[in-house]
Amino acid sequence: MEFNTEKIGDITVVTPLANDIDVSNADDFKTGIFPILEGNSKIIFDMNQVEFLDSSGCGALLSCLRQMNKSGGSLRLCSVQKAVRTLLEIVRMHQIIQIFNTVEEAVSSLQTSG
Amino acid sequence: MNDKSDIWNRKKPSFGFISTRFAGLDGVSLETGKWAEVLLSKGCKIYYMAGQLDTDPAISYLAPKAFFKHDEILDLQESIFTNKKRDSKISRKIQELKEELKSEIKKFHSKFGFEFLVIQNASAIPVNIPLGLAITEFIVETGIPTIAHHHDFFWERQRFNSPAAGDYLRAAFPPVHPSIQHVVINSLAGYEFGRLTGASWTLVPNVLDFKALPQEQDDYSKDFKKDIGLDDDAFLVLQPTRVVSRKGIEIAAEIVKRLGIPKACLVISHESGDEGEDYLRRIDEFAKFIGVDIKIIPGKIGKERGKDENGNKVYTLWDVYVNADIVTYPSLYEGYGNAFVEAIYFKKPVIVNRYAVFVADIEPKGFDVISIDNYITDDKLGRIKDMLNNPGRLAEMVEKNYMLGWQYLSYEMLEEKLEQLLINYYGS
Repeated sequence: MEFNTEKIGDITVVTPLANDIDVSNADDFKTGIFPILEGNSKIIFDMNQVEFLDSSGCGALLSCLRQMNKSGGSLRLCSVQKAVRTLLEIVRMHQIIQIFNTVEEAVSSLQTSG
Repeated sequence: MNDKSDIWNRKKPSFGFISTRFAGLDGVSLETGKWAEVLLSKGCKIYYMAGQLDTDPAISYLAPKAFFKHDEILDLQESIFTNKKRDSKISRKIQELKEELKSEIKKFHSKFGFEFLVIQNASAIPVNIPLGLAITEFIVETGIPTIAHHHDFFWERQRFNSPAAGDYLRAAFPPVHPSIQHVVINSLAGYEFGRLTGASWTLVPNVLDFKALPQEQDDYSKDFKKDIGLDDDAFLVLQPTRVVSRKGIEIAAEIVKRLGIPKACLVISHESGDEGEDYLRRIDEFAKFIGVDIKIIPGKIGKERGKDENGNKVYTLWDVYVNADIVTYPSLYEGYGNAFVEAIYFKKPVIVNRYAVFVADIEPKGFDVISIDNYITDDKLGRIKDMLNNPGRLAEMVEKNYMLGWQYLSYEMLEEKLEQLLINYYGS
């Protein structure tokens, strides 16, 4: 899986370039994203291109969160499409990973959290 | 942040769990472990008291007579539940043991100073009447906020229907008191509890941690089929239950036979337990009679991976699920259906009988399973074959079920329920 990355100060905004994150590519997602997580302590996943997430996709996001928590870093999601957001809310992942409407809001949240 | 989530920031009470046993793989111990995990994750402290424990000694209080198999308790229980009248000596003995156990509960409370008492089934099933009475008096005398988690009630078991015990059962199984919040694991039990006691109840079904995705096949678990004498390409039909008559295992055997899949084997994970060997023999004979390969493998399954005394690999139940092609659950009765939840969690197709609690609490959630009504028909058999022959449909089915499990039967659901119980006490 490919990713776009952009630096805003000490924050790294990562955009997964995939419509789906599911059982067919969740491992690819993790393989690709983990090196990015390792080098950065403040990460935002810009989910604007992701239209579908299944349980494996949710699991992949949670793996990223665990990785960031372990290293003392922070992870936010933003620009989550409605169907994906609904799913995240159904399984209450929005209570575990903070979700923002825009990149700017997510950046602001990470800046104020120090 | 909503009000409900905020309760965990405002309050982090400590909890004293009490039961007759917190050890091993019985349903009450397993479910207690999950409650503890959720509460610990919210920063709460947990302590345990029981008559048998495998919990951390630093947070545990052992009271041997709380165990339902303690000699004195067994003698007492036998006397009460096999006679129509109760000898006055037995009444006195009950009072003595009750006082002794109440003193133990007080010491448990003094030692750890927990704020909430959580009764795990000890006030529902009267396998230790003095313990139930002691808990009741402790609550009445202290007014301690209490959550009583009831897994099965005495009125669900014929053997507890004794006139020599009715006065105690009405008083303490379960007790009704303003400081007690009652939790049941299925709505049918809740309705009956409410009808008999007039008290309100909260439904908290048994859960699994769906956000931790199920383990996958690995180098250890891949040997399982070979170790139970199956070829790698054998079709493993898992019946993840004990061998007792209410599990309807004849139906599972018949399904295996009628599917006609080469190298199919019905694997039963648990033994017959304390309900005798007659049904086990019947199932063995029935399987031979209809020509179904059946393997009952409790000796291969342990709490953790490891080796048995002969140096053979021991697998976890999770290893067995990983190897299953399909799960059968043709139970005639279940308190909830842990095996159903596990099958959903492991993304396995399930054939389930529509037992009462399934119809009341599980089916309405919309799980996509093959359900039967006490016997297998050609139509259902055809649906099973269609499902197995259509990998796309199978994948959609198990994914849908997993997400429904995450929604309704997960740690997150449990956390919300516990939040509500705390809010009921502290206010929002």
